[in-house]
Amino acid sequence: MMKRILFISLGVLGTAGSAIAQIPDLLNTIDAGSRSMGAGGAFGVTSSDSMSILNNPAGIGFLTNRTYSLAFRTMPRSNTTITGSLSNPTFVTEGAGGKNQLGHFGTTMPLKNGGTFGFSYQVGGVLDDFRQGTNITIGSFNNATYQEIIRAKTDFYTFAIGKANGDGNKSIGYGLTFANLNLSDKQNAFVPGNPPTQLIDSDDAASTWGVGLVAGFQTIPSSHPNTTFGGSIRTPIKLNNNNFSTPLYSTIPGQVSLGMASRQDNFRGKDNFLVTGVQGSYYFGGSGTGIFDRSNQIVFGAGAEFNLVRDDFTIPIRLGFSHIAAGGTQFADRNTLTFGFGIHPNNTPWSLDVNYGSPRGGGKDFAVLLNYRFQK
Amino acid sequence: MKCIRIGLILAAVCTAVSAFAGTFNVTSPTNGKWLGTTNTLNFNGSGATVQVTVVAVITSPGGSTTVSTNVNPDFNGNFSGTLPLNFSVSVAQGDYTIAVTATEPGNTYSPVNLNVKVDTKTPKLLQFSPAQNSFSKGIIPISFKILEDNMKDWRITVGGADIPNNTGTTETTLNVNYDSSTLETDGSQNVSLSAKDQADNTLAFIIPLTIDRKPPNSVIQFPQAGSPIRPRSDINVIIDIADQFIASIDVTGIDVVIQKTDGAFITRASRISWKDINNNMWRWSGRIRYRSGFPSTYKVVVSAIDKAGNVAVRQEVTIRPGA
Repeated sequence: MMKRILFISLGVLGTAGSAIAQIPDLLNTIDAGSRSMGAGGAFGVTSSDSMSILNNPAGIGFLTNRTYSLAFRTMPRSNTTITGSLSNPTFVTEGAGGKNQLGHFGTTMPLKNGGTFGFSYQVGGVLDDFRQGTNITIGSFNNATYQEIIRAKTDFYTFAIGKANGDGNKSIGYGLTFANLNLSDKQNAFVPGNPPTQLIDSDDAASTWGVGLVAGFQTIPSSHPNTTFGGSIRTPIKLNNNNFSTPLYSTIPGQVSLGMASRQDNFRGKDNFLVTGVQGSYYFGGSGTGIFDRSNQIVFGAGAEFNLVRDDFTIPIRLGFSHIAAGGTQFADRNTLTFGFGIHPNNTPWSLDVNYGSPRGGGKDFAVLLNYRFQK
Repeated sequence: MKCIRIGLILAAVCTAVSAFAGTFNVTSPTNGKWLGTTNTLNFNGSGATVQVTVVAVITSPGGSTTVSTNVNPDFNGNFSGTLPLNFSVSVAQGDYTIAVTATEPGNTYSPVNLNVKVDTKTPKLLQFSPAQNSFSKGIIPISFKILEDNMKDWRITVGGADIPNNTGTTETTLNVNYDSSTLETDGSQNVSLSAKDQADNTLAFIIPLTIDRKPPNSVIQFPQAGSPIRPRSDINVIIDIADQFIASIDVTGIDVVIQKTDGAFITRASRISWKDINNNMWRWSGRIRYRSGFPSTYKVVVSAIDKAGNVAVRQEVTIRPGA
């Protein structure tokens, strides 16, 4: 019965959109490559790692060691076929694997007077879409050929401090994040002929910045010592004025996230444990027009991580699902099944995680995360 | 007896005189006549008995020439004939004398002396309006300026028909208005000028023109509302203009400007090409170069006027790059 419900749910959520399935400030599977990625992005605000610097600074309040982490991941890319009229087009988008790039770098260091400082670079979102169409209507021409390459990438550079209480069951964090949007667009449209009638031929790019605040909390209720609740907020980030990017995309939306993660010990074996989580986020206050018509949206993730614990190592195995609702008139839903596993040797400072997402509609998300934690 | 003898002698003398003095006339040209390049001297006479030789000596300020012919009298002694009086265009213009004599053995004729004026130059058209193969409508001012000292008369017609005030005499600057609004249909018309000088040298000139009272129709093919124009990009502009006649539109009649939404001028689109695409339709292609300071929303405004001055309905499209 549960299986059936799950498949029905996936079927509804996975209804293919007819627009670009990427959002310039939000990655598929929500995550830049952390363990949360393998669990459908369910652990974003309840985790305690360098990704927390942006996702929920309260998470780094629980880190008492200096840590470094590095994540590489496949960035999303898509190919879109356009039909109909370009003033009211029909898009059919197929995802594809994009470039493998650095998705995250973060470091945390405990402060002498309590609390933990962290700095991270994190890719927030990538849009890389090649759209094309033939025999489409542009203006009064109904046999035009159209090609466009749209690229947008949002990087966050975040400084944050997290501080846990003495009991280690509550933490708050806050920080400052600098968002860098790189935007480029190359268009070509013509009516075939001899010579062809050129309609559009443009190629432009811009880079712009904005500053926002992040803050969050994590708490472990005494009544549920195996459950962590987390919440975070990121303010909308107004980007510096740029006469190319501003008319398209002027404000990166803010984000409010709430999540819960629960640990079940001795799950299918002594010492093994299972972590399940769920997270919902609401993106608000973004603004843009046309191809970046950014509107409010809800993002949801659910997943589980089974940790197989042995004497010398722990192997986490993850499974999850994320749903990204359409983030604007030209963006489609993005639903992804995720998987992941890792190797966490005991008594060693490093760990390695590999996560994979399979977005509905094509493409792939593959990430490798390397953590290094200094011993005290 | 003596009286009888004297009478016979007088009778004989009178008979003799009447037998050897014929008559000779030049019927044309007449005295004071203007002569052009090709003329004919016509003569006749009577009282001839044998062949008569007629000689014309034409004397001009630059010299003289002689032409002659022989004519035979008829049974009654009458004779007639012609002499060519041709002048090249390069001969001196002005007053000439023509001395015409008729001679016949045993007979005498009175010579005829004529004073004529020679003008071999055709009236020269210095300027005219409207231009040939032009397009016009409404009241069409027709004007000609002619170089001719000895103007005789002129006539202007349109489509072979007279128009008001279309004739005159000695004027060399001719101005006539033609009201084309009375025509039922637009189309080709010929404005014809015929101008003669005193020597009947004739200037004939035709101005073909097309009456066009229908305004052209312009359509902004690109961009249009909803066209995916990105910010800061140059914008190609494509406009099709249709009119009822071939070549009735000239590229200089198309004006594409960029305005703010309140109508304030920003810049003018530059033309890339202009071509006849089919069936009295032309395509204007141009480009709007982006420049700093462009407002976020602006209008592309197209004005078109054909060669006859008919103004097309102004077309405009509002562009909001990025939207």
